[in-house]
Amino acid sequence: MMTSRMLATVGDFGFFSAGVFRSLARGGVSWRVLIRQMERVGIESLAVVNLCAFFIGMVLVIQIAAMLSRFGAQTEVSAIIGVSFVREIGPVFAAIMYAGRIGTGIAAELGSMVVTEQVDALRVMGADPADRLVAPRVVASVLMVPALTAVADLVGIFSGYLATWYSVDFGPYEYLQKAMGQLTRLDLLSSLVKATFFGLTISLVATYMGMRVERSTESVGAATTRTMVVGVLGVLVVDFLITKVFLALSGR
Amino acid sequence: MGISGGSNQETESTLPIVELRGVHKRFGPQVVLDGVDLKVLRGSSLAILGGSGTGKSVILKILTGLLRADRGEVRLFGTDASRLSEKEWEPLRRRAGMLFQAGALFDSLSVGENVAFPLRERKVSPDRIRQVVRERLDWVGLAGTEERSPSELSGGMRKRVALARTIVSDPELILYDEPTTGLDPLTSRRIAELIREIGDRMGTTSIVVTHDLISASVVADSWVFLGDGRFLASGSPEEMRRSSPAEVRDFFEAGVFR
Repeated sequence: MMTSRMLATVGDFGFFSAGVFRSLARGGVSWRVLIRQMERVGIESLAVVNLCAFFIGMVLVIQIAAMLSRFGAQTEVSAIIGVSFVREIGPVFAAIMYAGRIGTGIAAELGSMVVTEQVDALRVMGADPADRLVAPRVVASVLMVPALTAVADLVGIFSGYLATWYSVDFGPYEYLQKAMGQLTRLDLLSSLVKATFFGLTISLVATYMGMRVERSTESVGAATTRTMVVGVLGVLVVDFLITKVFLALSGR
Repeated sequence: MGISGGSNQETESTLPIVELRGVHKRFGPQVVLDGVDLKVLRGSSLAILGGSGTGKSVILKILTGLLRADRGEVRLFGTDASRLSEKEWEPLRRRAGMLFQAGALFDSLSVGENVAFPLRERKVSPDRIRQVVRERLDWVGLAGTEERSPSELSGGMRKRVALARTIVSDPELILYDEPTTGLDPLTSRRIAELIREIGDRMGTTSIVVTHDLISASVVADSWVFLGDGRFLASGSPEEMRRSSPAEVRDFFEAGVFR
């Protein structure tokens, strides 16, 4: 039955994730692989995440400023951009881009390792695939997604400023002041916490899909698409939960 | 249950190195192994033959703990390995090696790093590692290829690197999963001769899964034929050719080039 199979998959995923945490707790994570992974996931996604943030920032400012000008409040646009980028748009879009670029890459890479028996070879030679392949990728993502998000936030706010150049009469200092002025410490913390959990979600989904691939190239392709879909859905669910938590924390 | 620590070397050398008793394995509705019995003595060379997809590779995977038998007893180096955990498999796997069908080289590592991998697991000194890697690559005819990447190599060369990686830790037992499949006759012969040499020089026990009759005759002292999930025939090539099950005779007839 569909539901019993889905439950079995969820259970399997839980078991898999527990294995990853056990690997981390044991300190069995391969450092060499971790450093290499951090370089890869950080550098490879930098361009696409920032490009995305750049255009979103501009479009948002144009749209919001247009709305605000009806109330003569277009000078408030920077405040809105600052808060919305840091709280929501930065983390969520950075995570979605990351899922597409790195998440699918991880699933495809691990999937093809399974198909070519490299994972079996690791086990036969006494190495633990969780230590060697999975955990380093999870840790790298948990560390890199917040960093990427922070950069994306800055790029988004900056590109928003570029958009105001021609529409609103703003000085850069004024813009930045307003943008940062509305941000509280809780906002920055929530952005960081969200990004961390997004990195965790995407990497767990990606490594799970990759490692559970069946012996066919068709299966590897299916694993990459499923990583994107489930990864993004997971990010949105986690986003909702964390937003609720932080709203409760700020007493609003 | 569990591993007999401090195993007596004398008793172990008289016991079969590998033993399967009544092993059953199925994948969903498909029964792959239906009561397999096998005994392999130390220092011998066995070829497991049979049609494609009959479960020959499954036997090798059960022998290394990559798969677990549904029923039956699995004994490796005199130890009951039927229900071991990954951790408990470690000391047994250290004494064995496996050559996978496509080589299964790690594509993110160079040839040298691939061959050195099993030694790094055993915390051997870097100088000693470099020396042994050089020796093993030389033995398989690939001297000086340490810096190259697996993707640059041909299928036959990749097999040979994988072979070097398998023997680098001097295992007592080596399992070969279709070592010559997909290779031209000349390369197949070379690989088969290397496998024979490894058995002769290092005293390793070899179990070779194959459907290549020529390599099997180069490598193995005795053969078994797997069909319908069981061993239908065993013995020397001549005995097998005269064997009664039609399935077995047809297999051998088909393999003869006239």
